[in-house]
Amino acid sequence: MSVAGALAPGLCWLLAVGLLLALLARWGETVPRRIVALGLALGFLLLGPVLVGGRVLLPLDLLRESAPFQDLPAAARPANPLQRDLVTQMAPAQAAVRAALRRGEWPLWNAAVGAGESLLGRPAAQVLSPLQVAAGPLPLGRALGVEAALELFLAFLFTYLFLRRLGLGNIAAAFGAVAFGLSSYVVSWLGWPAATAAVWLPVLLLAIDRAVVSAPRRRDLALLGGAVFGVLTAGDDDAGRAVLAVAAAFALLRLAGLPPVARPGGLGRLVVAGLVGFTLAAPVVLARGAYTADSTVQSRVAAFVAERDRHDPLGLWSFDSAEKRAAWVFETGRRLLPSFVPDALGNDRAGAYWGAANVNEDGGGFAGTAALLLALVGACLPGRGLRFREARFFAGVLAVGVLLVARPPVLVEIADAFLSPSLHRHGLVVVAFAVATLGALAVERLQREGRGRLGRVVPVVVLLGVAFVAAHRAYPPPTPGNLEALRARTLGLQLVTLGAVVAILVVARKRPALLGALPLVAAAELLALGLPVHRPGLPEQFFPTPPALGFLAEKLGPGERLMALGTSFPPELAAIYGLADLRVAGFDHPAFYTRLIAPLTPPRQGRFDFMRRPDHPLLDLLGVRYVLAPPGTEAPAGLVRAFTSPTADVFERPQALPRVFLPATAERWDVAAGPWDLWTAANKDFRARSLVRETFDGAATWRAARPLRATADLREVTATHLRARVETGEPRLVATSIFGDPGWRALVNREVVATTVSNGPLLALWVPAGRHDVELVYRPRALVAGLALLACGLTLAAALLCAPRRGES
Amino acid sequence: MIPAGWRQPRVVLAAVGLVLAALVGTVIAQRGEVGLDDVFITYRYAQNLAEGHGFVFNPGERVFGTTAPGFGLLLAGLHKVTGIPIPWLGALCTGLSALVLGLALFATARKEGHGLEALGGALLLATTSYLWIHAGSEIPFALALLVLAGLVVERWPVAAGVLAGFAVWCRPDALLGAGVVGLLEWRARRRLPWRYGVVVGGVVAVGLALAWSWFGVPLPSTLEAKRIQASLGTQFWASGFAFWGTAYQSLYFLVEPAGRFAFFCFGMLGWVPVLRYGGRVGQVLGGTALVLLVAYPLLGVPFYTWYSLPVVITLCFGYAFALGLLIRRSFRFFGGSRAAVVVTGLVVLAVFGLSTWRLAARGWGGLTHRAHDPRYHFYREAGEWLAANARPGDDLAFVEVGTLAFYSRLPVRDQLGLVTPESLPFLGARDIVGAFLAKPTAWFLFDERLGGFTKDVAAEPWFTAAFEEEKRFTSAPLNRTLVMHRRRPEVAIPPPRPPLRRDSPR
Repeated sequence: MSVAGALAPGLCWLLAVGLLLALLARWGETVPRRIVALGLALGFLLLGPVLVGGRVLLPLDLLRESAPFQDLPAAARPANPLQRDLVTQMAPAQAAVRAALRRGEWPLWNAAVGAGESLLGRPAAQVLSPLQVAAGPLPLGRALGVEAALELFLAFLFTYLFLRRLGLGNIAAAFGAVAFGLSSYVVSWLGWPAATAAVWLPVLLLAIDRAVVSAPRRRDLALLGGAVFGVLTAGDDDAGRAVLAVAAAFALLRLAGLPPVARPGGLGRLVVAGLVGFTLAAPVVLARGAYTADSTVQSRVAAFVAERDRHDPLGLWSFDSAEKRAAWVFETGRRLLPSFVPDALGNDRAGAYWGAANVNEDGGGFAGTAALLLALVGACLPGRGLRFREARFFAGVLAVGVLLVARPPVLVEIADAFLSPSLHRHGLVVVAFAVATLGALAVERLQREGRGRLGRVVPVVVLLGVAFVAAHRAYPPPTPGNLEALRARTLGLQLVTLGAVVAILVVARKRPALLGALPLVAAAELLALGLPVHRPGLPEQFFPTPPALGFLAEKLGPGERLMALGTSFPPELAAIYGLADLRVAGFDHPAFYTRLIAPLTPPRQGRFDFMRRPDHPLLDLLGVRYVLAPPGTEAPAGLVRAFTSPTADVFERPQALPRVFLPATAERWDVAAGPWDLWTAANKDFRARSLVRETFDGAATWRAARPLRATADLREVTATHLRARVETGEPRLVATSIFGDPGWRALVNREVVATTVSNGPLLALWVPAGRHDVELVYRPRALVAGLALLACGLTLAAALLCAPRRGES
Repeated sequence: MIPAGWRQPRVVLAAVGLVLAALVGTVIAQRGEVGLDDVFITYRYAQNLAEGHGFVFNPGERVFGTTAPGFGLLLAGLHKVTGIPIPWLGALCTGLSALVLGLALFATARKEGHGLEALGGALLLATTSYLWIHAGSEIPFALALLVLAGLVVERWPVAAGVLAGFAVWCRPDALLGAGVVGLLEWRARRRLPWRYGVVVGGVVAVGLALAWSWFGVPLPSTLEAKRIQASLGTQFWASGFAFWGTAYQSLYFLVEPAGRFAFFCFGMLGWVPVLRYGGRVGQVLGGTALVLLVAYPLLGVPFYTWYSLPVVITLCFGYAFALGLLIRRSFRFFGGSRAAVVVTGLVVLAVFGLSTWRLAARGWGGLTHRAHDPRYHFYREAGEWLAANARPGDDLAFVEVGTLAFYSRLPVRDQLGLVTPESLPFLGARDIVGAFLAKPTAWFLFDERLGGFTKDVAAEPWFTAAFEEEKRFTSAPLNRTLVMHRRRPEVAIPPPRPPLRRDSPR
């Protein structure tokens, strides 16, 4: 890689930061140079190899686990396995968006995943996210680093500006900015939509604080609208809900500070600005709403909630015995402690974790030992002190965040009310921000009133130190001695941090300027914990084309798909190479589709990226032409070895159906006849008989009189458009292997006709006898409605920004 | 402009009373004599007393099988005097109780400037299916008596003591409420309300003595029955922490699921203003509900939906008070201008819109749907068939005995022991077959949906020979079939035996 190429992300980031600072300066928010330098230094320290070293901010080393990539050069240190989603889902989704834009198309449909699904609504794609747009001109591998660095800097800078606006001094504001900017939530989720949503929290709060005044400036309302837009397009609904909820509560707090008669106007301005942000994001928000409502995870959560409602409403039955209560306390500790005592329950990045889910999900609330200590110290200081209302507000936010994670009886309903799988975990973003803010407020109070306060600091330090040690002892590793060194190191780091903070506070009694070391202590601890999280990939690991994938790229025809046996190839990576794979990774894909392919997966595992049945007729239906397998795999029955290489073999399935075909028999699906997925799992030949929601004549079974006297020729296939020539002497069912999203429209000889679904969730239509040009076009209603709202939002924004001021002619 | 005279407290109270009475009357006319199965146990006592068989469930058996003796006596007396059928009297008492609770809270809250909230709560209470599916229950009546006692205790402590004492006759749990009334009076006047306390104690003691002399025991045997039921586990009857979890599930009758949690939260939040702005009535209502909220799980009482009535009634008023509080606070917060009206309307719509809509939808559906409480019709049909087809001297065994007994007029053996204490040792041992063999009946009713409580007997090898099927009743809404089996007297069945320990009814 050239030097210019290696430096490009760093330069691009600096340019973006410069532009942002210039814009802020015009808006009256000047940032001291040393604060900018601190923010940039933190960015470079955490992401230096990505910004100026040519590395790629993806755990590319994990690719070596899949067969075609096993010859890739190994990185010096193995990648973080918790970040697997980044390489198997996030990057492919963003690559699909870029590919669509390169083709001059809207990023509406991703035909490369499963039987196709909405790309606009896919959270991982983060379409319209301002940060992604800012990094857009760079190639994907470099853009990811720039986007992450921008997120870090935004979180740092706007937390600083928000705290300054609360009246805090430079040191306290910098302390809070470091604590949130490097908090485990922001650092661990970098690359996921969750971190993108999180960094907009301080922006929103600052915008609200600026907008809720007696006479706000338009730029402040524009900033608020922009922040709302940023949260909504970030792609993580749970983190977004948490952020917007805190922002709404903060808006109320600020409105309460206005004279009563000014409050309706203040609220109105906030609502209008928020509405503009929403309408601008509407195309994505509406599409994502439709996508997530139909997702597998949503159906699982709905089933879980219904089950809980039947057997343990409000979670009270979990409390009807002493054993159950003790178990609840233990489980709550497993969920909460990683946010306050990192690595006490292991770290799955290092190989073992005995907390509730994983360190990313459970540990997001950690904003540093220093911030935690100072937040507690602040609570113990006598009197109301500085910014008492804000301190009380953020203490309340912290309490609610902790309660959401603890899921005590009764409150379990809150997360479940949103049918949210992880509202309680992504709610940790507000915990991290509240701890950072409370810590900063305490620093300011200590700085202003500090003398004689040490008597209150020492007991808290002792208490906290004992609590850290007790947490480690309360949750010993299931295997004795496991990760002992890591746990001891992290505990030591926390205790040293406690000691360092106390030392600074002691010395600062005589030399107050030394309080300036507090942000550095906080940064040192958080960097020590955050640096191992990201182990960027080597440039030569960034999706090279192994021979087997090169073969597939050459041979796979339009409308044909591939699959891989076992875990030999992550499914969505195919999108990077312009291929289509019928498998899906994760659980946010359409539930109807995962029900269709469930028979191909091992029973009771509940994952849809792991398949072992290369001979199943469902693969014919879905047009799977090639099967990728580890080298040396025996040829499965009925498959022909088409390509062999030292890293992967490819088998051909000659019986794969084209994307459009004409079944000889169509059976009408009747709810009373049982679940459709049992029918599709048992069907041997989908060309001979298919299941359809409505038959042409309304009969239970429709049969073609002359099955072979009809043809369907595929003429053109793109992501959002398919054209075929159908010739038939009688009405026929045109079946496809495209997921039947309601956004698909069918045109027969340029006339719109009704569509239906066949074989479960797949798109189909009936055509009369004759020669027809059949076109399938993807035009989701959410896009049309979203664009209409967008137009309204733009008009409203233009009217508000360009209207003459009062008194102007 | 409303004329000043119309705003006199009595005029307003009369107007509100008329509105509430019209509403309650409409609901009673619509619902008729429908009631839960358990209230028919008390009806049966009242029926037997009114017909001269004494205060008994089965003529000739002095079993204290009702927790509402005072209510049963009252119904019998009213039936004797008025001739109105007992189920109708039960429904009227429920309506009257709702009217008293609503009016009393309205009157006291109005003095605190929160009359509209109380009126809203009263309207909600008068129209909620949760109240009306329990029509005929003694609990709202006892609660109304306690509220009245709370209102008069300051001026007429003796009368208050009589009211509270009779509330305990109607419902033993009301003793806690009577205590709340006394505590509130003591707190208000800083003087022990000894006259009230003595009268309550006296009335309760008289009740206990009467019960002892008539039944041979001072307390209902149902208490022991329910303790044993609770010990069977949460798969049969929720108790302990699960008590209120199940109560929360039963809010289904009040509000559609999408609005349930919001109703619950607002109702709980509004509990505080009910206590604060509801005057003495709000304090008695909220205090009694609060005591029961804590007491039931601690006492290990098994859950029956009507036990939660005091809490749910308070939640209804709490919901209205929370709504009122939001309106007032929001209006004041936004400056009280015209703009504030609009903003407050939008805020209220945003916060309360969905849950209120869900409440209204469930309330309307519950009151207008003619097939409400299909179980009542199911058992009534079976009971009337038995009354027409049973031979003199026949008796019957089943597990839900109220409606069947009331309409069949046959002696009934309760497998769950509520009115048949002889069944209790067997129930404690989970030995339903033993309970049946202890005194086999001429009729045995089988219902597969009731699980081992009837299946255990029907699964015995001797059952097919000893009983023959006579009639089936099927309820589509309940998805239940009740099979009437008549005993073949010529076929012997095993003799009575001591209880055999089983893990659970199958």
